[in-house]
Formats: sequence, structure tokens, C-alpha cells
Amino acid sequence: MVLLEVDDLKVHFEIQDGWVKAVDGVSFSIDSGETMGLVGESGCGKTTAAYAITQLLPPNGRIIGGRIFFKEPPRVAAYRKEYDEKLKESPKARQRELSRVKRKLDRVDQAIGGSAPEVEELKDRLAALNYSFDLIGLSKRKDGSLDDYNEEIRKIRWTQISMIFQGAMNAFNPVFKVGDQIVEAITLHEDVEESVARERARELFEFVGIAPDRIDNYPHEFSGGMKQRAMIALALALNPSFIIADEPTTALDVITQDRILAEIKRLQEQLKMAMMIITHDVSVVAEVSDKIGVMYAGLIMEIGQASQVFKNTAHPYTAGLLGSFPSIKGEKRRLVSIPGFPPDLVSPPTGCPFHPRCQYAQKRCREERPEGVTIEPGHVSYCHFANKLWEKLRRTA
Amino acid sequence: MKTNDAVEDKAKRPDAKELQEASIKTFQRLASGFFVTWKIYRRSFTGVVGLGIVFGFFLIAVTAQWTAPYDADFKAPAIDTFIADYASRDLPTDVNWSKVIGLTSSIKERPLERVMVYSFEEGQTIVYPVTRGIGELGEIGIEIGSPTTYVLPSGAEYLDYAHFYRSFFFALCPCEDGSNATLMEYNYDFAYLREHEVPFVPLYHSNLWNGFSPLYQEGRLALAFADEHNVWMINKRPPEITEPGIDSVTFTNSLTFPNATIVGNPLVVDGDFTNGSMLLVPTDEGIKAYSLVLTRASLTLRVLDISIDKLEWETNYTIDDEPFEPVTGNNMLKFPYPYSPTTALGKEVVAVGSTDGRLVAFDRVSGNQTWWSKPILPGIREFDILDLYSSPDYIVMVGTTGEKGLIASIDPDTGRIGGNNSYFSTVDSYLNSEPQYVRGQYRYVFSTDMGTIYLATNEMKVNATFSAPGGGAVTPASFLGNIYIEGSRTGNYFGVINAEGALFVETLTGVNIAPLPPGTYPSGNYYPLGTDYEGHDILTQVMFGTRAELLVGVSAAFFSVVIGTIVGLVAGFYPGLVGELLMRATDVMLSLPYLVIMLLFAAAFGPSLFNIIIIFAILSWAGIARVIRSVTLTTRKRAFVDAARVSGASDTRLIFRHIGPNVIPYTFLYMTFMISGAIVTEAILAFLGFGDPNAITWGMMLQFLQISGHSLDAPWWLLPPGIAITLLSLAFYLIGRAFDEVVNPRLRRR
Amino acid sequence: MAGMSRYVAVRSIQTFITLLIILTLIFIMFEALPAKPQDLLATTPNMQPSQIEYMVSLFGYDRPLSERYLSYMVNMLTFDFGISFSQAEPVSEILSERIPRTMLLFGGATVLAYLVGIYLGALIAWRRGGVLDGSSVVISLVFYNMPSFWIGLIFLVVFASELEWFPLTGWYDPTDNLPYVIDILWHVCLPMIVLLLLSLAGTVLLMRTAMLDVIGENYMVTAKAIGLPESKVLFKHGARNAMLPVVTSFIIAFVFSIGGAVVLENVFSFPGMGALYIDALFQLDFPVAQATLYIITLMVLLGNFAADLIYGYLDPRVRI
Ligand SMILES: Nc1ncnc2c1ncn2[C@@H]1O[C@H](COP(=O)(O)OP(=O)(O)O)[C@@H](O)[C@H]1O
Ligand code: SF4
Ligand SMILES: [Mg+2]
Repeated sequence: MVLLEVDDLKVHFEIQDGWVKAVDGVSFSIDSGETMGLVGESGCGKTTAAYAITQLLPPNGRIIGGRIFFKEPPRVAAYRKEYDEKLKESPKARQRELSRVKRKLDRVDQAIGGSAPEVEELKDRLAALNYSFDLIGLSKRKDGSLDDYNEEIRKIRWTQISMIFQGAMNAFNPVFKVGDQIVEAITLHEDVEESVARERARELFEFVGIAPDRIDNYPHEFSGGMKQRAMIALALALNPSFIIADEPTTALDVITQDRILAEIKRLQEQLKMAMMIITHDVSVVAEVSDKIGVMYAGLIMEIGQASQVFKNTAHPYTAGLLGSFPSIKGEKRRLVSIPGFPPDLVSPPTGCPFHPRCQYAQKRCREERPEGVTIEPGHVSYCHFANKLWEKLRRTA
Repeated sequence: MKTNDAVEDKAKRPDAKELQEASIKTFQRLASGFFVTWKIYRRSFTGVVGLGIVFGFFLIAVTAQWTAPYDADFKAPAIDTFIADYASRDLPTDVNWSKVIGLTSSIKERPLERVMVYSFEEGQTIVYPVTRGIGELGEIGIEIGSPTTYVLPSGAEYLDYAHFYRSFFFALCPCEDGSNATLMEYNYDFAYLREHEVPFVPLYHSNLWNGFSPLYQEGRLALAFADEHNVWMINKRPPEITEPGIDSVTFTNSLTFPNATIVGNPLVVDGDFTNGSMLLVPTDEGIKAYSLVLTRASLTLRVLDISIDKLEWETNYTIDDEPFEPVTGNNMLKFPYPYSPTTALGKEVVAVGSTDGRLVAFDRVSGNQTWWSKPILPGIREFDILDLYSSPDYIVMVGTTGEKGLIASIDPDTGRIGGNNSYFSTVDSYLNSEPQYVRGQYRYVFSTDMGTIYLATNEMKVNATFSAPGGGAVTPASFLGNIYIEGSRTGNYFGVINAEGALFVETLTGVNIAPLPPGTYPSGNYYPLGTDYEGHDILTQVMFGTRAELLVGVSAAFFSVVIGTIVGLVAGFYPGLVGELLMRATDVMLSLPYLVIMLLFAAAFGPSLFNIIIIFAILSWAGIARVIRSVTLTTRKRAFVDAARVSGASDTRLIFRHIGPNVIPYTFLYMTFMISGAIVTEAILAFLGFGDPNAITWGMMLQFLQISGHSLDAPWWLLPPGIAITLLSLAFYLIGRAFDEVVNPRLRRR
Repeated sequence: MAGMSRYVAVRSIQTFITLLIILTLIFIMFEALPAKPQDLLATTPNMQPSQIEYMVSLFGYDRPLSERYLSYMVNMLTFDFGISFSQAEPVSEILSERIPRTMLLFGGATVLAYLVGIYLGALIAWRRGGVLDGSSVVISLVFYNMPSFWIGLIFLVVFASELEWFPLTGWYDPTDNLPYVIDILWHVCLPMIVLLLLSLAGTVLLMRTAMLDVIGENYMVTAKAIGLPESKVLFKHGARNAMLPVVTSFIIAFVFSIGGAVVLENVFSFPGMGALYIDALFQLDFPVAQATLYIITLMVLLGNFAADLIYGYLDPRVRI
């Protein structure tokens, strides 16, 4: 079942000399219990995409377009897609349809009432037409900024979606005890006694492998790895259905990195949570992801099941990225780093953003932005020549 | 290590070309560094504004001499800042008023008691008692009581009031048949006493002098009348010389000039009879001088009688034997101040003007020409001499130039205009009154045809005017006298009747109305921001104040930053005991209430800009020392890693080569903040009375505002210096903030 | 809490040493003055011979420098300030009347400035880039650079002279027919508002900068991410941290504010220590000037000590 669906998300940042197109049309979906890895070089917009989901964007961030559906019932999703297909580019028709459905619902509701299947269906249709499960729709203001403290999103935060932050080192407020910060999160959303919450915090500490009595310590009394674990504990505090881990291992030494990854794996196995793991380090996702999205310059380049992307690589960028990291699996691979630098997102390259660095680039690549090319079910590559290249790329890899 | 360095340097001594290239490179680096700095700096709008403001103030400071409306020490003339106090009474409008006279019953102090208005034509006389009262602006002023009306003979041509024991009036009426005139005498209460027949119709009369002098406790009055060919003189004695209680006036004797024609007022010189009194008669042939014979009582030496004696000398109108055309008329001859022989001694000349603008003086005793001159009036090409008057120090020349009146103080020794030809003024029209010499702050009072009363100094600088409200005066302004209270002279009072027929009595102790609000004033000056209490133009002061402000700000900040940087560098470079001690000292400095201590220093060392600069520097280096220390600490760590240390650079070299460049931007940054602080601090010290009294600073302007008691009612004075302080201080602060973003990139995103 | 008490002990000792150093500095400064107390005493018309004798023996004006220093230090530390040269009254009596007034003015303004400034600065930084931010920053900058006496005068003109909302001068005026305390508050109001505004400007700017630093911190994102409402993120997590550097700079604010109080007391004819101090300086009333300077410094030091304690309470990282 689809838990989260991101549809054509565009997030830009307003800066002095223009707009940083940090995320410029990203779509993906994550099923319940599934782990997706989002990889890409630093600065390609991964964190921004994640922050858009939880609406934690900095104030100069603007949602330029797109929707994020969270926990949308499958039938609503189906209707929504159906409508989107049918009413494409015709807001008026959509409006008409909306009022028609509304009227019908009123009528039917009065006639039959209750939870009759017909009423349910109409309700779902209405929800689909209204994009009722779109998180962005709840908060978006006219200028694209988010009313990101609204009640709806606050209720979803941490109870449904929690995050392990990129800078987990500093994710705890230095003036409060770590335990108290976990307790704060729990008591904020659940009507429990503080002692109960404290007990929960101790359990969480134990779960992530920290001595429970450390909950009365201040963050500066923790080591880096401990802080990261504590962060995980905090993320688990309310048993969310979805956790975003943003570079969970980046600032850590190799040994601690391994431990944290093991921790995450344990989470997946024991708690069956859906996760999105963001990293610039392919080896991390390789280990823990079911599904992989490769991002470059604010766009998804390739997306698919982990095995598909790794084995049947169908995008030159993915190939380059995989080449630049040694595999954890120990297979000997050549370390090829991609020549050149990621583009400036204020004025990204036209067409395929990767074309200035792509060895296969053609004239077309400079002019047209590639559409998704489905290589195999669930495996899409955004390269004009994906079909031609993937054989070759696999060979190179 | 040092020797190493030297050897190395010598070995690598670059040749000229290399040096040139190197310097070009350095310059390019500097230029590009500057450019980069500016590019970042420019992004801060407020920083650019701050830079603009500082630049503007700098321009003002440099060009104040030429751009300020006035000189640095300019003061508005009293004509603008002073308002005479007055009281007024409406007079009957069907009467043609001629004269305002002040009356007193006491000859000694001559306090002003009553004011009399009189009409020659109608004989109408109204007398008002006057007392000291509260003036229009809350100052000591004048109050006019209820009037008494008298009728005196009409058609009188001469009327004056003698300050004499049991004072008298003389009313001289040309009798109806036109033959003779009668001199009528009244007492103080306007009771008719007696009359004397004058054997002709007088055209001229002498200066009426009453011979009061310390030597002769009472008065002595002599008055000469003249027509074209006769001079006739009367003499009034004090009562006890005749019969007690009865005053007497005696006819003295007369002169006749059958061939010559009298052309001006006779002049009696030496009115208190000590130095050989004389009667001078100007005729068309020349000046004829007669001695006056005084008959004295043997014991008391009192003058019993006066008679005209022999001709002492006569002179014709020549200058160096060349004839000239004299200015004839009522006041054509002048002897310096006939009433006061002590001041006239050594200047005993009789002056007469010529129609071509020259002055000639004859020795009073011999009649020989002592000097002649053609007065030079800078800026005035042509003028005519009308009358000559006298005062203790000068001969006062009254004339005209074009439509304007002219008055000048002539040095009786040389005939030149006093003060290197500067003691003169032009006034709005012809003078219609004698410039009356008044002891006290304002030396002369006179009025013009336009009805303006002028007050001028001994140097003939007009320092106040009084225009009777409601139109020009119809009578000459006349000095009425003083009102005394508790033995102190409280003011000189003047009277005038304006065109609407109202009597104005005004006092010269009026009100200083400065600080003046912005505007144009009687002198014609425009004060764009008004003036302060002493009449200094505010805009001028603010503009000149910029100099001291920038001087104090920049140099105080400079010294404080130098101290701070050195302390910080040393503390950062030797973080051990030395650094620790220095930082403790810094902490102590930081916790000193520096303003409070600065006041103590300022009190101790005395107020001067230099002291303020030093005090500021000594007390406010601590903040920067801290910052420089931390910068030094971090760069030092880096520098150690650098090859410099490894290749054996000395500590000083390390400091100057490596740490210096990193520290300088901070030094500069804090200097801008310090300037801003120093400017405000100077203002505060000055305001509290610890400023440099010799410098024009904005703080001093505000202190003067406070101590002159105008802080609540002179916003034009309160606001500009404060705004200037705030602006300049703010400007430097803004520069600091903008530059901070260059130095600390962390801040840029904001 | 053992950390805390050790911290308190260390800070008290440091404060005491600083006090000793400052006292010594004050002594040196007064010794360096060209006027000597003996000469002043000889010419003071108000003092009785017995009082003069007392002062000479108390401060040892006729004894060598080292003894003078000792008796001075002892006298200051025991708050025995002797007799005022100009008023021939015990300095402590004069001071005891004045200290509470200045404490009220200066303490009240400083504490209020901090409370309001921290709140406002946090809020402004939170809404950065907006009209509120821009205008507050500009206003604060302007106030920060204004000479205190001048803004005092302007307030006097506008609010006391023109609008007559507040009395022009003084401390208490029985003819106002107001209860004693109310009347005093009414008199203190205007100078306090001015001092408040002046101190506020610096605090707001400081707090804003600190808050802007804090806003970029990761824990702020965490606070938001766990679903806290905006006010809690802003104040509990944001302002709480941003306060730390602001509290550290308390000493600077104290020094600034006491300077402001001294000046404003003169502008508002407020009979506090500042006015007393200036008068004493002009009259070369050594004992009063010395004692006032000492008390003012002491107030600053104690205020800073309190700030340090607050800091220790606020920031767990320093209590080690
Ligand atoms: N607040 C911001 N304002 C302007 N640009 C930003 C902001 N945050 C991120 N960016 C830019 O957006 C792009 C994407 O950033 P981010 O999502 O953090 O990348 P990633 O997480 O993949 O490293 C980068 O180019 C970054 O510089
Ligand atoms: S579209 Fe063109 S440029 Fe882009 S990845 Fe494919 S081949 Fe390279
Ligand atoms: Mg990131």
C-alpha cells in the first residue's frame, strides 16, 4: 500500500540574485514498511525534498508546485489519478465535476445515509477531487510559502512522520536534558503523565543501546554516536509510520557508521516502519534500501528497486555515482569519479541537467528535458537514451 | 634567528624590475582586495547610506569656512535678538502731536516720573505718570498711569524741559503780530510762573545746557537764542542765590551782527564753567567765538551770573586757506561733548562739516584749524553731512546716503571715522532726532523718518531697533529718563508717538528674544535653523561643530583601537601568564562604569578636546582587545602550521606578516564602532559640563541650551545638534555593521 | 548541582578580586587629582573643626601613601565613607537616601530592558525580513546611537512640557495629592522610559543577532519537527538559547545603562546618585564622589555577578 506519494514536487529558494531551484519536479512513492534510499551528490536537493514533506523549509523556501499525499487510501488515490487523467488542464471541468459530486453526495447521503458503499465511494471521489490527503494543500499559502505551523501538519509531525536529521550532532537543544526533550515530544502528542513518558524515554534509550539513566544528561555530555542514537530514539518516540533519515551516518567515524546502520536495519526488521534514507553515499543505501531514487540537480535521474538500479543501471549519472564509491559488498569496482561539478541551481542547465558532465550527451540532451523511460516495471530512468544505454552501462559497471 | 633572516633577505634582495613588478602585484592585490571588499560591502544598503552620511559630514567639515552661512564666531546683532519693552496709550487723534518729554522732580538722579506729550500747534499737553512694571515678555518693563491734561500756549516753537531744581518749562511763542517772541516759564506742576520777552523771533537756539556738576551741587541754566543778526542769552539761577523759594531767570546780554548773517545754532561750550566757557556763533563770514564771563560767589564759587564777553577769535570757512562751503543749520558746529569737560580735554576742537563731505576742526581756544578730513565710509560712495553732535568719545556725524540715513562716530583727534573707518551704520531713513547719548549698554538712541528707533553702540553698530507698532513715528524719539528702584538704574526709557497717534514708552532693558526661531530678521539676516541664546546661528555652529566632532571621534577611536589591538595581540600571542593577566585587566576595564569614571578624569584634567580624546582612549580599549586576542589566537594556530614558523621567522615577523593582516580588518571594524561611541561620549561629557569651552561641538551647543534654560522652548536649537550627533554616530555604526559582514561572512545571509 | 555551587564560588571570588582592583584604581585616580583633600578641607566653610579632624583621622590624609591606601580600602569595604565636604553630613546618610532612587531607575530600566528586549529581539529575528524587522532594526540603531541626554530632553519637551503627561522634574511632590508610592512612580516614569528605550535598543539588536544565529541551528528544526507550536519553538527553544550571549554581555549593558542613568538624572533633575556624583565632582566633594563612584561600580559588579549566576543557570555547559 502506498504510504507516501510525492508528485511533481518543486521547491525553490529565494536568494539575492534569483531562485535556487533546489527541487524541480520530483516524483516518487513509498509503500508502507518500505525503505527508499535517496542518493545524490551533496547539494542536489535531497534534504530540501525531505523538508518539503515535513514542511520544515527555511523561510525563503517556496513550494512552486506539486503534491505530497500521505496515507491516502488506495481508492482515493485511484480516483485521483483517474480524475487527473480525465480533467487534465481544465480547472473548470474539475470545478464542475466537484460540484456535481457534491450535489450527488448530498442527495445520496440523504436518500441512503450512513456508510453505504455508494456514499463511501462518493466521499472518496470528493476527497480525490479535493486532494484531501495532500499535505502541501493543507499549508500552502498563495505565494508558495507554507503555513508550516498549522494544526494539521503539527499533528502529523512526529506522530506519523519523524526525522533523523542530517546534523544530528546538534539536533538536541544544548540547554535541555536529552531525556527531557524526548519527554517533551511524547507529552506534546500523547496525553500521558510525565513519569510514563520518562519511562518510555528510558525504554527507547535502551532500545537504541544507551544506558537508560543517561536521559538526565545534557547533549554536550554525549558522544557523537550517542547523540545519533539518541536522535533515533527521539524519532521513534511516538512510533511513527514513516521515518526520514537524512544522512544518518555522515558525520560519524566508520565504526560508528556501521553501528548506526545496523541500528537502522534492526528498526526496519523489528518495527516495520517505512523509511526514507537520504545520503550521498551509495554504499549506505545499498545496504538498507528496498528502493532507490537517484537525484541530480533537483531532479530524479533514476528510480527503481535497489536491485534494479544497482544491477540494471540505466542512467549515466547513476553509473558515475556507483563508480565513485567502493562497494561494501567487496566486489572490486573501478573508482570512476564523474568529471566536472554539479551545476549551479540558480541557473541549471537546460534539457537534461546532467548533460554538461555526461559523456553520452547529444544535442537533444541540451534542449529537451528527458521524460521518464520505463526500463522494467518500477524502474524508470530519466535519460533520452536510457533504452539504448542501459545495456552498455551495465557492462561498464 | 634574526641574523638568519637578514642573511636570507640580503641573498634575495630583488633588483629594481622585480621590485617594480612586486609592487605592481601588491597594488593589484590591494586593488582587487579593495574591490572585492567593496562588492560585498555595497550589498548593505545601510552601510552605503552610512558611508554617504560620513562623507557628507566630512565635506561639511572641510568646507564649513565657505559654505556655512556665517563665520564660526558670528553672533546675531542685537537688532535681531533684542526687543525693547514698551507700553502704549492711545492719544486724541485730532491733535498734531509734536513732542514727547520725560519729566522728573529730582535733579540729582533724574528718575523718570512722568511723560508729557505736547502739540506745538494746539498747545495740548497730556501728562502720564509712569512706573516700572512688568513688560510684555514678563520682563521688567513700564506701566503708564492715568493722564492729566493741561493747555499750554499754542504755536510754541521751542519747548524744552530743564532738569533743574524745581524744574521749568520754557514755551517760546512767536507772538501773533510776528514781531517778538515770549519765553514763558512754568513749574513742574504746570503752574505759570513768568514770562520773558525775546526781542526778536528766534530762528536758532543754543544747546540748552543745565550746568549741573558735582562741583556745584545745584544747576545753572543758560540758553541763547538767535535770529539772523542777534544773539540773546538768558540765565537761570538756583533759588537760594536769589530769594529762597523763588526761582529767577535773568536776561544776560546780547550780541548784534549788523553785517554778518547767523547761519546756525550758537554753541555754548564747557557747560559747567570750569575751563573757560565760550559762546560760538556760526555766521556766513565764519565762526565767531566769545568768552563767557561767570560771576561767582566768593566762598562757594557758585556761578551767580553769566555774561557774554569779548570776541576771543574768529575764523572763516577755509581749509588750508582754501574756502569751503559749510553745512549750515541747526547743528552745524560741534564741540565734543560740552557737558563733560573731563572727557573733552585734549580734544578741544570745534568741528564743522562742508557740503562736499569734509570735516574741519578748529582749536577751541585759538580758533586755528587743527585738522580736516574727508571721512571714508567703506561701501558708500557718496554721502551728505547734515548735522554734527557730540558724545564723550566722539563727534557724531549724521548724514544721508541716497534714501538712507547715515550715522558715524568721528574721532575728535583726527576727524576720521573711528575703528579704522568702521564705526558707522546706515539706517532706514533720515534721522529725525538728535542721537541721544545714554549711559549704559546702548550708547545712542535716535529715530528716523520711518519711525524706527535705533539703539547703537559707541562704535555706531546698530544693535536693536524698535518700531512702534502701528506705523512710523511722527515725533522724534526722545530720551525720557530712567526709573530707579532701590537705587539701581533699571532702564532707560524712550518715548515716541506713532502714526496712529499712540504714545509708546519703551525701555532699553527690554528682552533678549534669542534664541531666535528660524527666519529672516530686521538686520536682513536669515537664520535657517534659528539661533541660540547668544545669537549664534545654529546651522553655522552645527557645520563648524562637525570638525571637532570628527576630530574627537576619529582620534579618540584611533588611540583606543591602537591600545586595544596591542593588548589583544600580545595577549593572543602569549596566551600564557602574560595573556592571562592582560585579559584579567581587560575584564576589569570592561566592568568599569567608564562614563562615570570619564567624568572624574574630565573633572581632574580639565575640559579640553585633547583630554577627552585621551580619556576615551584610556578607558575604552577593552572590548577590542578581547576580539583581537581571539582573532590572534586562531590565526596564530594557523600561522604555526605555516612554513613561516618552520623556516625560522621571529615572533615580531610572525605578528606583522601573518597575524597583522588578519587582525587589521577587525581593528578597522572596531574603530568605526569606536568612533560612533566617542562622538556620543564627547557629547555627553560636554553636556554634563565637562566639555571644551573653547571648541564648537554639538555637545557644547546642547549644554549651552540646557544652562541657558531653553531646553523646553527652543526645538530649533535642541534638535539640530542632537540629530547631527545621532546621524554621524549612526553613520559610523552602519559602516561598522556593513563592514562586519565583509569581515564575518557568517553574517552575510541576514 | 555541585557544579553550580562551585561555579557560584568561583564567580564570587572573581567578583571580589575585581572589586579590590577597581577600588584600588579609584584610589589611584583620586590620589592623582591635582586637588588634595587636606587643602579642600582647610577651605571648606561648612565643616566643624571636629569633623575635619575626624575626616583626617578616618582617611589618614596626613599619613603616608601606604597607610592612606589601607585605611581607604578598609573604609570602603566597611562602607564607612566619612563626612561630605560640602554638606558636612555623613556621606552614608546622603547616599542611603539616593541609592534606592537610582536603583529604582537604573535597576528597573535595565531589568525591563532585558525582559522586553529579549522578547522583542527574538520576535523580530523570527519575523526577519519583514516590515517589523526592518523598522525595529532601524529604530533600535537610531536609539542606540542617540546621546542619552538628548533623547531625554526631547521626551521632557514632548511628554512633560507639551503634553504634560508626566512631571517635569524631581522625585516626589507632595502637592500632587497622590499616594507617596504612586507619585514616585509617576516621577520615575519618564526617565525610566528613556533609559529603558536606550538600553532596549542595544538589547534588541543583540538579541536579534543572537536569535538569527540560533534560528539556523539544527535543534530549532528538531523543535519544529516534533510538532511544537510556533510560540514554543520561538521562545522555549529559540529565545532560551539566544539569551545566552545576551546575558553574557550583561556587563556591557550595565555599564551602558548606569552611564545613561547618571546622565538622565541630570536631565530630569532626578535626585539620585548620578546627580549627586556630578555635583560632588563640581564641588570637589571628595568623600561623596569617591563613595558614589564606588557604589556605582559595586552595583555594576553585583549586577554582573547576578547575570553570571543566571547564565550559569541558563547554560548547563558552563557549570562544570
Ligand atoms: N535556505 C536556502 N536558501 C537558498 N538556497 C538553499 C537553501 N537551502 C538549501 N539551498 C540550496 O538548495 C540546494 C539543495 O540543498 P539541499 O537540499 O540541502 O541539498 P542536499 O541535501 O542534497 O545536500 C543547494 O544548492 C543549496 O545550496
Ligand atoms: S539525457 Fe543525455 S545528457 Fe542526460 S543523462 Fe541521458 S545521455 Fe546524458
Ligand atoms: Mg542534505
